[in-house]
Parts: sequence; structure tokens; C-alpha cells
Amino acid sequence: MSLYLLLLVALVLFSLLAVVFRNMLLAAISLGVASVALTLILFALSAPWAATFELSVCAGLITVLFVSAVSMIRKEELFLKEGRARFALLPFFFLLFGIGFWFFGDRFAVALRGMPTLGEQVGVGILLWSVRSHDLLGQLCIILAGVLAIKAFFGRGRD
Amino acid sequence: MIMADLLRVNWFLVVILAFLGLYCLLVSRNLLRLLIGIEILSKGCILALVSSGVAIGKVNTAQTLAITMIVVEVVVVAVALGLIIRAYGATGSIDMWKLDKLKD
Amino acid sequence: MNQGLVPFILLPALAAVIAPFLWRKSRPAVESLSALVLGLGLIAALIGIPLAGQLGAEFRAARGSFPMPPFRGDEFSTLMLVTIFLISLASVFYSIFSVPGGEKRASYYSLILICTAGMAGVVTTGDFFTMYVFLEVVAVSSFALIAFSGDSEGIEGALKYLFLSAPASFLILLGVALLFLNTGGTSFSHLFQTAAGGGGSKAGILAALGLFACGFMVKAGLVPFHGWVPDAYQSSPAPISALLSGIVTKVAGVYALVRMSMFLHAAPGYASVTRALMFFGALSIVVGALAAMVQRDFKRLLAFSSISQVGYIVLSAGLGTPMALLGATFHLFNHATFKATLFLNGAAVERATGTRDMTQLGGLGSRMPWTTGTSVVAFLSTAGIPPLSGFWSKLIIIVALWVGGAKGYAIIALLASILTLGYFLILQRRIFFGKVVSFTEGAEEVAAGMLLPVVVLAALMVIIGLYFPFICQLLLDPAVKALL
Repeated sequence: MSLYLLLLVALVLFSLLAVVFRNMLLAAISLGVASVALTLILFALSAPWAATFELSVCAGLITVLFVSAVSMIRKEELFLKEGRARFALLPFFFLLFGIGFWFFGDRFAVALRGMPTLGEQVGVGILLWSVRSHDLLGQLCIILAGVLAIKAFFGRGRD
Repeated sequence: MIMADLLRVNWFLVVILAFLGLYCLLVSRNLLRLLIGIEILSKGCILALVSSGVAIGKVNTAQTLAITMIVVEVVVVAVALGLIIRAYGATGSIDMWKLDKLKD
Repeated sequence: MNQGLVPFILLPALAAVIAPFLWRKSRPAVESLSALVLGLGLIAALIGIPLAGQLGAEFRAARGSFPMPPFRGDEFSTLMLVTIFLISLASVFYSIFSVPGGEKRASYYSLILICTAGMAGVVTTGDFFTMYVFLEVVAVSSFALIAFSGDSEGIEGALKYLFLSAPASFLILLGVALLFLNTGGTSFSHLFQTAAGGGGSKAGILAALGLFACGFMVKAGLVPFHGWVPDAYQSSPAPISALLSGIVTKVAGVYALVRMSMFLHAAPGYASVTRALMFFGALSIVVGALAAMVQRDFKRLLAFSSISQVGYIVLSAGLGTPMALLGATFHLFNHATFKATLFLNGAAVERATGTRDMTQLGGLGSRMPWTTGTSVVAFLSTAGIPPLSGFWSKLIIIVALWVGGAKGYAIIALLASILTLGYFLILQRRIFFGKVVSFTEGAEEVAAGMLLPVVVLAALMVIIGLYFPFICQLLLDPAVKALL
């Protein structure tokens, strides 16, 4: 159990670091580490498929994309000072909300104690292909849209 | 003690991540950091989906949702990065405060 | 197996894939292909209304049963499909004739096609999560289309849209997660069942709905979440502004809000969400109308006017009575036609005169008769003058508000309408019928091909207005039956 809590803390910590680091390269890597923490959390929650996707895509692909974007940008531009002074009070409100949520958050979820868990027999693969096939179509569409968008941004200009 | 409240702990994390992401979006000046904020929000969503699934016993459905969501997110991030690079190419800067040409 | 309305998604997507390959061979082929596909879709959607009616009736009949069957599309979906394909077709038509030859890169038509496919996906699905996926498809293609011209204005508009749309998607996803937690699923059926049957925690479902409402309000461009709208509309290329204003914001945001209203009125106890919707709708009407009056750039004017009109739709949908829903649906379709016409004409004016600044335009009527004619029709219809279509939809909305007990909102809607009317009349007189000024001296009417879509749309406005009772019976009653 304590390991799980440690992972949760790691997730929040590295996400916080990603927000705070001035050096964008370190921020990107920090985000990647946070993704790894999330992967382990997902494994612990017995969601191996989601964990694998999270690892390969978020921790891997997105970090690579970020780092390559960072490498394309001049060094001076990467070290901007953030305008945090205006929002200094915000974390305080968040803290209040967080405390409130911890104590009163139960109302938002159905009472779980008496509920019979409807264990799922169906595997992820079958679920994805038959029950949620519309989502698959959506995934195809968005990949197509993404490819077209990148093509529109960096295409070879006037034909 | 905490085991019985796994759901609550997980969702508490979701709330923390949500606020962290929103804070990042509000205060950031650097376009890339805005994207990091969006990414953090997405992590919160993934955790929310999977922990809800675990709590009600439908882990596999939650996993399919999470997988689709991750795929969608990576495409959005890739296109956003492309847009940021274009912005850098067009204006030489990734400073958000410099993007104010459209006010009449 | 009955696939419902899925083919509407597949066809444009397929065409989007083929288009880049065809581009190398022959440019006109791509243009014809796009127009053909969209035209086919439009006709199919019109014909498909009875079929969809059948599907919708099945869904509604099974309301009491447990578990509910999945939602496969109904008349409201088909009406949205008609709107989507119509406006996309107009936009593509305009694009074909507005740029002679090959300045447009291959991906332009593909992007419009995939955007249409995405929108078709949003309106034909019965699951909130699938809606999120297709909303992202629309969003991604919109980013690319807004920034398409490559100038820094377009990129800025796209970035602003991105950084508001992403948190909105996040809010919707959180709502989905909460919904999943409380009802065990993410589809309409699950929400309906649990809300009506009292299964999950009420606070939880209310929170999920609240999150949905906020997310969709951002996507619809409602006040106070409208920040991205003027910049995005102003900076995108003209046919894209028409597309954005005409359908993207509607499909992305308004459609979902109307659907939510539909469910919430059948399941009592969630009135706070619909009341909030009404409030923000009314707020948008007022803010949009007032802000529109101080603009100089006509694209920004049209953007704020759109915000105001969307406010009407959401206000009416929030009320939820049959008449109110009828008004909302009708206005949704009408506004798509108005704004598409106005944006396309605006682009024509910009091409002909070289400026978007309204203080510098005057006396266009003598130089560009067709553009003037169709613009006047669209302006009058937006403002609600009989016997045009806009008059009927606004009338229904205001009467529904009055009769439904929201008298205060009815008065606000009426006053805003009069305000808009006055302002548009003054504007029109000066731009189209005033003295000819230097900018408009050399203006020439634009090519016939570019005029075709706006003429068709303007004709629609007139015909629908004149034959309103007939239209009501044919298209709108089925749509409203679906909404109940």
C-alpha cells in the first residue's frame, strides 16, 4: 500500500516539477517521469493494457515529440520568466477545495459498499472491437485528421 | 483503512492533477508549457477513468476508454506541437504574450 | 446488423483519404469529388429522415425497459446531418471558385471532408465518450483549417482555439468519468436509465452534467467562455469562417447541450442545470449583441453576432418545452444558413474592395448586386423580419419563453432582437445603399460559382419563411418528436 502512495506522490511531484522548471528540456523529461509513475499506478490498479499504452505513448512518444520540439527552438526563448505574481492566491483556493473534496467527496459517487461488483468476463480486445467499435472508427478518423493537419502545416507548399 | 477508500484517494489525485494543469494553463507564458498543462490534465483524466472502472468492477471497459483517450491525446499533442513550431517560424517566439495582433 | 447512421461518417472519411492521391493526377477531380460526396450526403440525409425516424421511435419505445438498447440516431440527428452537409457543401463550392487553379494544397479538401466526417460522428453517436473522440477529430481538423493560410493571424487564432478547446475536452472527459462511476456506462441509455430510475448518486450525476455543460459551453462559444470565438473567426480563411460559424460550433457545443436538455426534461430533478443553461444563453444574447455594435471589422461583427444567436438557441433549449425545443432546432438550422451566407459574402466583399473595415465601405449595392441582395436577405433574416425564416424561429422562441413561464427572458430576447434589427438596418443602409466611396469604386461582382452557394442559401431562407407551415410538418415536427 505504501508503495502505491509513493507512486501517487511521485506522479504529483514530477508533474509539479514539469510546471515549475525553467529549462524546458528538464520540464519535458519530468513529464516523462510522471508518465512512468502513472504507468506503474495503472499496473497496480490491474489495468495492464492501459498501462502499456500509457508507457509507450505518453512516456515514450510524447516525450520524444516534446524534446524534438524543444531542440528546434532557440535557447533564449526557452527560459522565459513566467507571470506568476498575479495568480499567487490561486493555490490557496485550490487547497481549500482539495480539503473540502476529501471530506465531502463521498456524495458524488454511488455508495460502493453494498454494491455487488459486476465482474467483467470479457477481455479488453473483444470489448474494444465489438462493443466500442465506434471509438475505433473515431481513432482512425483522428489519426487521419492529424496526418492531414501536419501535412497542411509542413507540406511542400504550392504545387 | 486506506484500502477501503481507494477510490477516494485516486479521485483526490485527479483533483490535484486537474488543478495543477489548470494552474499551469493560467499562468504560463511559454507555449510549450501550456502544452504541458494540457498533458497534465490528460493524465488526470486517465486516472479518473481507470479508477472509476476499478471501483465499479468494469476495469476492462475503463481500459478501452483509456486506450482510445491516449490515442486521441497524442494526436492532439502532435498537431499542437506542429502549430507551435509554425508559430515559432512565423514570429520567432514562443511567448504567448506576443500573440495579440488580432485585437481590433 | 443495423449500423444506424454510420455510413455518413465513412463516406467523407474515405474521400478524405483518397483526395491527396488524386491531387497529383488532376486538381478538378478532387474538387468534384468533394462536392459530389458532400452533395450525396446531403441528399441521403434528406431522404433518410423517415428511416432515422424509425430508429428514434425504437429507442424511445424502449425507454422503460432495462437494459436500454443503444441509441442509433433519430430525426434530430438527421436534421443536423442535413445542416452539416449543406454548409460543408457551400463552403467547398466557394473554395473551388475562389482560388483559381492550384494555390490550395492537397490537404485542404481532405481536411474539410474529415471535419465533416467528424461532425457526422458527433451527431450520430449515442455515447458521450464517442462524442468526445469525434469532437477531437473536428477540433484537430479545425486547428489545421484555421491556420491554413499560414500567416501569423491564422496561427494565432488556431492557438487561441486550441488552448480553450483542450480544457473544454478535459472537462467533458471528467464528466464522462463521473458518469461512468455513477451509472456503469457512458452512453445516453445509461444516463437516462440511471437518472430516471434513481440509481447512482444524484449529486454525482449532477456534477457530471455540470462538467458537461461547462465543456460544451466553451465549445459552443457561449458567454463567458467565448474568448476564442472572435479571434478564430476573424483569422481563418473565409470559407472556413463560414464552416466554423455555420456548423462547427453548433455541432461541437450546441447539439450536445440540446441533447442534454432533452434528457433532463424527461427525468425530473435536474432543473438546476437547465436553469443555468438558460442564464448563460440569455447572457450570451445580450453580450453578443452589444459587443457586435462596437466592431469595425465585419468578421468580428459577425463573430459576436454568432455568439448572440447561439445564445438564443441555448436559452430556448434550456426551457425544454416542446415549442421551445422546436424553436431551438429551427433556429439552429436557420442560423447556420444565415452565418454561412454572411461570411461567404463578406469574403467576396473583401476580395472585391480589399478591406474589412466597415467604416470605409459604402454604396456597394450598385457595384455588387447579387452579393448585396443575398446579404440583405441574410441580415434581415438574422434580425427576424417576416416573412423570412429567421422571423419564424425567433418568434417561436420568444413565444415559447413567454408561454413557458420565463417572461423575463422573453423580454430580454425581444429587446435584443429589436436592438440587433436597428443596428443591422443602419449598417446595411450605409454599406450597401449609401454613397459610393473610394474603396468601392472599383469593386466588381464576384464569379458566378462563388455566388451559387449564397444564392441557394438565401433562397432557402425565403422559401422556408414563406412555406413555413409545410416545412414545420415535414422537418420540424419529427425533430421535436425525437427530442421528447
